[in-house]
Amino acid sequence: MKLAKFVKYREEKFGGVLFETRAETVYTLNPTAAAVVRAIQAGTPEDQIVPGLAAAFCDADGKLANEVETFLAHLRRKGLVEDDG
Amino acid sequence: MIDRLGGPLFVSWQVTRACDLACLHCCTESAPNRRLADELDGEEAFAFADALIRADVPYVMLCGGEPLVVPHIVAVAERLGAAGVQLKIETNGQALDAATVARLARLPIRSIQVSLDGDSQAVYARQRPGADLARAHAACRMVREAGLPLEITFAPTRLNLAEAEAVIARARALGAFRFNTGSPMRIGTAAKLWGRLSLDADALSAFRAFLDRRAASLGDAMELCYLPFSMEDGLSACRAEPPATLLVLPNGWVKVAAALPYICADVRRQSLAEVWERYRRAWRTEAVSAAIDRAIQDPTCHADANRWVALPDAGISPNGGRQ
Repeated sequence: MKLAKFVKYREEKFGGVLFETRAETVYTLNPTAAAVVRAIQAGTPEDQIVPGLAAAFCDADGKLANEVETFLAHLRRKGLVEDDG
Repeated sequence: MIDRLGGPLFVSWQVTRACDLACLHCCTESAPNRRLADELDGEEAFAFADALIRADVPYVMLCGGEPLVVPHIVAVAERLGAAGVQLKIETNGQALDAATVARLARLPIRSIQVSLDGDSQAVYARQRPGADLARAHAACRMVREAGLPLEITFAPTRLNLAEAEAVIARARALGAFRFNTGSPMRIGTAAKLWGRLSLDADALSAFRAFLDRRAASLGDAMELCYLPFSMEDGLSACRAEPPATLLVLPNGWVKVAAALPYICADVRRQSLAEVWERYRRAWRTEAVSAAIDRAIQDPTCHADANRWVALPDAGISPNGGRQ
């Protein structure tokens, strides 16, 4: 998985922004979402993203995997990521 | 939003006021020999491009005037593109050649935008004296054949409104992904020639209704981009949510908004971080707020937008630049 061709990510104090330049749409990301996008940029396989984040973010209630899955589905639905190929 | 961001997300960079055309509707009053005396030179342009790269600005538009009359502009685009900055280039298409397109095709080009203000040579050249419509069409085809995304822009006036539908059809046939238009902008040369160019209320209303219908019928085939429809609507939207956009003039001054005369910073004198901070502060000033109120209430105020006025916080001396 990688960011789509017209999508740019920038880190911000609050987390990050995804800028889809084709539609000129900006999405703000909280720290967890920003970490997911950084993992995607780093080429982390999808099934390794949650284990990688678990070390950095407290997951006391065990919701992290579900939240990441939901976020990735959202990114796909919006066309912000595409599968390697 | 802008108060939370560490820098601009988009920079609209007018690299020159010079142009190879002298269009009647031009917002920037561009024409041959209208280059500003104090425009950024090549070395300064590269330095500014490097500042944009260091600030991780994701998206830059190179415009003018006509950017392709600037000798170093493709090299500047290459500097930005090599760093991953996505680029949009606005051109009238008259000087776009195969060699330039080939260089641009190696860059992360978000789009090349070509102006088509008519679908017949007679109408096109009435609004763009001396311009060759076939050359503009050829530029569009070169862009698409190189695999680059094409945008078309259409500035409606009394001279060309009757060809709006044909230009939309042409844009689609040329493979454009987006078509930009809206209400005529009473700014720059257009403001001076407003009596010849303006549309009356009925024509404007009919044009807006036509765009609504056409947008619905086009669906996903091509995006019809015409909202906010008027400059006043755009200013209202900006006041509610100031854009994370720097509008950089050819001499490095930074304008608060295209429709306002205010200058808030100078990229020659200040770092990009300082420019961004001054831009953010400008949107909180009473002067900007009052200017927006005036412009919304009285669209004739847009005619003053090119009489640049430095805000006290801009860090520009009275003789720091020239119009």
